[in-house]
Amino acid sequence: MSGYIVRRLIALLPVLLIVATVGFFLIYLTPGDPASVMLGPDATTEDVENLRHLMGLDRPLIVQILRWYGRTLRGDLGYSIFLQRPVVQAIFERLQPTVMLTLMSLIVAVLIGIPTGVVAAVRRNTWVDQAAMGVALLGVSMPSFWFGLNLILVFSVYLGLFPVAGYVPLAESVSGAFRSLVLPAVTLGFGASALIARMTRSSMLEVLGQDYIRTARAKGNLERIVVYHHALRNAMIPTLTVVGLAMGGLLAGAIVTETVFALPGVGRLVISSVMRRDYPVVQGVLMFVAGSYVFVNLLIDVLYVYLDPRIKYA
Amino acid sequence: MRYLPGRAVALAVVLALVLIPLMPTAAQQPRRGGALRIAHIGEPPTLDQHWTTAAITGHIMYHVNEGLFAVNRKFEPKPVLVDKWTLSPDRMTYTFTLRKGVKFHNGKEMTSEDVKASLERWGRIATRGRGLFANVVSVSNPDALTVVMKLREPYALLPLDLGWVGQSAVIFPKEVIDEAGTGMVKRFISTGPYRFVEHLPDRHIRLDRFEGYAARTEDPDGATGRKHAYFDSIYIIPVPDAAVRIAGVKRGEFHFAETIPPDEYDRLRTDPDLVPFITETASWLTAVFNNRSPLMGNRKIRQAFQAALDQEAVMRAAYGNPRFWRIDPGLMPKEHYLWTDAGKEFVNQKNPERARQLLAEAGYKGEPIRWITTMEYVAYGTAAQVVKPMLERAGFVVDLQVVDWATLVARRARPELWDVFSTAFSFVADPVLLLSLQPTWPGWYDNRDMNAMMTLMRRHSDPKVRHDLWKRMQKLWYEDAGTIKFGDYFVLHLFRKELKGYVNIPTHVWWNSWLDAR
Amino acid sequence: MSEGIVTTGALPAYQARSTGAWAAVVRGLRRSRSTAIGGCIALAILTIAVLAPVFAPYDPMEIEVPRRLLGPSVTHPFGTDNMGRDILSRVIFGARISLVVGIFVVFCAATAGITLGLTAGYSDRLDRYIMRVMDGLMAFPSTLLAIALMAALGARLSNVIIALSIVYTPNVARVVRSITLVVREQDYVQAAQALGARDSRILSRHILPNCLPPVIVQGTFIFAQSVLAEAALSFLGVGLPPYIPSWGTVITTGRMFMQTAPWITIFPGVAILVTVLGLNLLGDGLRDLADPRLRGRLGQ
Repeated sequence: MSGYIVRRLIALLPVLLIVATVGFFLIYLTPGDPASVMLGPDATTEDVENLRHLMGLDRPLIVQILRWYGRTLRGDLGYSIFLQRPVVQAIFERLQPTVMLTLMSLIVAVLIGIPTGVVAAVRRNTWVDQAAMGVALLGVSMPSFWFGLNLILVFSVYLGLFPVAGYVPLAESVSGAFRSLVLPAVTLGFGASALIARMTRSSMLEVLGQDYIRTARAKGNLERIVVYHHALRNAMIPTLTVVGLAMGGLLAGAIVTETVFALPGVGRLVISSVMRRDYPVVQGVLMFVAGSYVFVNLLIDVLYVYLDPRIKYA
Repeated sequence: MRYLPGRAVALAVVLALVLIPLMPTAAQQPRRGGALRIAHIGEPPTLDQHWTTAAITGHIMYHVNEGLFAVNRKFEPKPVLVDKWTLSPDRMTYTFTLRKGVKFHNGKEMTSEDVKASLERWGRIATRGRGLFANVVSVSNPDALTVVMKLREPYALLPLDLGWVGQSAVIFPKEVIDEAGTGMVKRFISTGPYRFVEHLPDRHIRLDRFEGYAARTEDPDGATGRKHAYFDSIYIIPVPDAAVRIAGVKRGEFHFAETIPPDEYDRLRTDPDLVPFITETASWLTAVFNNRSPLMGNRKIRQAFQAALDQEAVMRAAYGNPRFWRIDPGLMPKEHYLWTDAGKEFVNQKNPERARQLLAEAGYKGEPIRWITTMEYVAYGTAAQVVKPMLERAGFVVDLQVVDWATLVARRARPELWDVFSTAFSFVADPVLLLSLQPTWPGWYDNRDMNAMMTLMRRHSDPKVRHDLWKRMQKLWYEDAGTIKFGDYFVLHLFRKELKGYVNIPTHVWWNSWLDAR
Repeated sequence: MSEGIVTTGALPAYQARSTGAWAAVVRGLRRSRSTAIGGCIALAILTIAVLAPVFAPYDPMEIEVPRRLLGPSVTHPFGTDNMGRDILSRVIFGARISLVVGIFVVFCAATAGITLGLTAGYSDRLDRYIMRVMDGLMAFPSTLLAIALMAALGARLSNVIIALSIVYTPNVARVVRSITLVVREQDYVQAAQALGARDSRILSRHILPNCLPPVIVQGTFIFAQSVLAEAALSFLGVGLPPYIPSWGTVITTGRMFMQTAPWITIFPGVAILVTVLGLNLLGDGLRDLADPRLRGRLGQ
């Protein structure tokens, strides 16, 4: 088992190298530079050139990429041009809202997705099935920013139930943090729930057709026990994969959602850094997010073993 | 219909009930305390006021930083950190005596050393500072409270330059400047009524009252006179979405929202808790021509562009409600003493035939006009989209390139990449500060007659002489079609009724404002 | 909604013969109501897109400032935007843009994905390299990768297509590779190899047909995701240029007027919702058909 994990970790290295290279070239190709953003609209060309030189942006490509590799290898993600602090620090400062948002969205997604999927599977091909899957599909079919803006209008502006934007850190107020995340989590989680519902339904259908379920039924077990004890447990394995994949989707969705709800998370950090060309931050976040995504998937593969005794990693 | 006495009485009662709360009462006493929460459009690129020309940095840091001068409601420079000042008869030597006992936020007393270091740094890195310092021979500090600036040529507007809000010549302690080296300052320390506490990017910037503030005694006037920090703290919170800013003010999460779409005005006006505030100073929406490009370097093509425009349609599409914009030929706003309508025949011509004819004379053969614009500032992109069909009607071929602001700013620096770009100019107190007339600024409008008149403009202080000169400059500018001014616009801000004493000249003045107990 | 494209990652290996699958599609469409609804929606949007100039009452680009921000009325059923452009016409032409984006992205991602997936699955030598790059691309959250690509490439229709194709290619490649790995071990492929058939013939005659149905299913979802992704990119300021009438750009224009002129955002939002819903329904139905383990139960 531990040998397997070590091998998987080693296999991550080339992936991260590719991420780093792709990240570097994307940034390098992007027109615009931090100097002109920093100096503001009224600066002259000469001022911008001076600052570019000061920032080392006029160095040759090969020098820049070698420096970037060198730093990254040492685990140093660089120093933010605009935030005046190390990139790692900048990311960690923004981690809380993003992690909280992702977790709460995941909870929302699971709370909606799994019951919907189970109900749909148990009553398959009835109107219940179609309605349940229809609602789930509705979630995945909406543009999240559009849904989010509408939620703000209805629940914050007209009904006044939740704050319109911003985030209260956990340290300041736990209930405040949750209140500020309810709408974003619903925005994001509703979309992800469709994926989970769909996977739960299809793996439930598959499991319910298996011999041991028939056996369980034949033994006269209550249908409820058959469904929830025997079937659901086994149906959870593929669902778990999807939860893992959904995490990636949630992180991607968080970029949009954080922008809509003005949450000071990693997603917003990367958008504003792209906009003002804070290269080290964009590269750092790319590395960080890609790394954690890969890591979460590794974690899920390991979790499999505990859920499904049939899987063995040599 | 006849009025019955009873009805009249009832009307009087109703009127009294309605009007009494509206009348100013003696209870308009400033209240000390509380935290002001401001929803701003985004994050400042840096908090170092010397470095950036970005307005947002000034909005925030002008509460922390102070300069030798500032401007009042009439945009006249008045001393702030300076106590007395003299100008030698040849208008070449300025001597400033600093106020005694002014403390920096770190407790240190401000001296001429700090001022000299600050001015020299500003003259080295600020765009406007470098322009000014080209004419400065030396800055010296003969004693702890005296600073002397010697000029190369007579210049009448130095206090205005030093007191202007944009990329302001604010004073930092010398050690902060030394520490910064060639980079940005690492600590934000000056002498203002609020001190910088923290910047949590995308969360807030926090300023606290500076208890050791040395206020002037004159009555407040614009950014000059007595400053009083009534709030314990000011939070500036970045909220990029305008709808969210509005909703936040409505719900009382913020007291102030910076820049609201003008189309919201009528709706917000009916809300008794809110004050929609229209700025009094005009900015202008423009399209800048690249005078170094083969196309726009051709005067006839520029004139054709000018002739094709329906500027009302542009301004209306961009700003909606006519309260928020006006078509005005003056390059200096109507409120300014130098205002003139010279060249008005070139404004809002709506004449595609003339444009077509000018294009033919120019020998234009349908080369695409590369126009870079952005939707990050919606009005810029909207104007460009509206103008495009106007130009096409006159025979232009337009290649509209919508990019983000960072790309636009980078691209405009390279004359080979563009022909026109969208931007806006904020109000400036004097034509010598007008960017579009400066040959160094992207667009590179470089007319020998214009430059000669500009030199005279810098030299003279007599209003009559300057006005005559300015009329000729503006006329030439229109004949030459150096840059397009679509029109003046006014920005809408929104705040809650309990915010009192807010002033918007020359910029946001949140010192001296306070929150009424609700 | 999750602009994640992960939706289609875990498809079961597919082993049936293609002709059977196609017949099943037709049969399934008759039997499954939701699939049929999805198909009808997709067909309706396709018709609207193709015949946009017939349906649209105005030129979608025509700027008429005096009629700005008009609410829905008989002359402008969906109202107008801040430049006086007719929203109905923009939404109708928006279907065209969504269609173009969707079709090209599906085509490019499928072509690239099939090529890479077949190569990786069939060639042990190249497998490792190709899949490492695919894993690298998959490790980026899709939105992030698309944003970075768009920032680098610039706001153009072709670039939106390129960016989204790059984002979705690894998903296709993975599925095709896994099918290839299974199919190439099948007896009839082994037999063909033993008989000396060329690799190209084996790939095109035996393996590719097996890959197509799942790729078509996946393509439906990719289509749906591209429609959403185009809107999201526009919203984030890195999508199509604003004068192009796409659903994303119309919503983005209307965002400033959410409260004063909600019709600008509502109608294109609903258009996206209906289209994506239709595509998802269709994709779900096709997936059920393509999955042999579920096919037997459809008639129940």
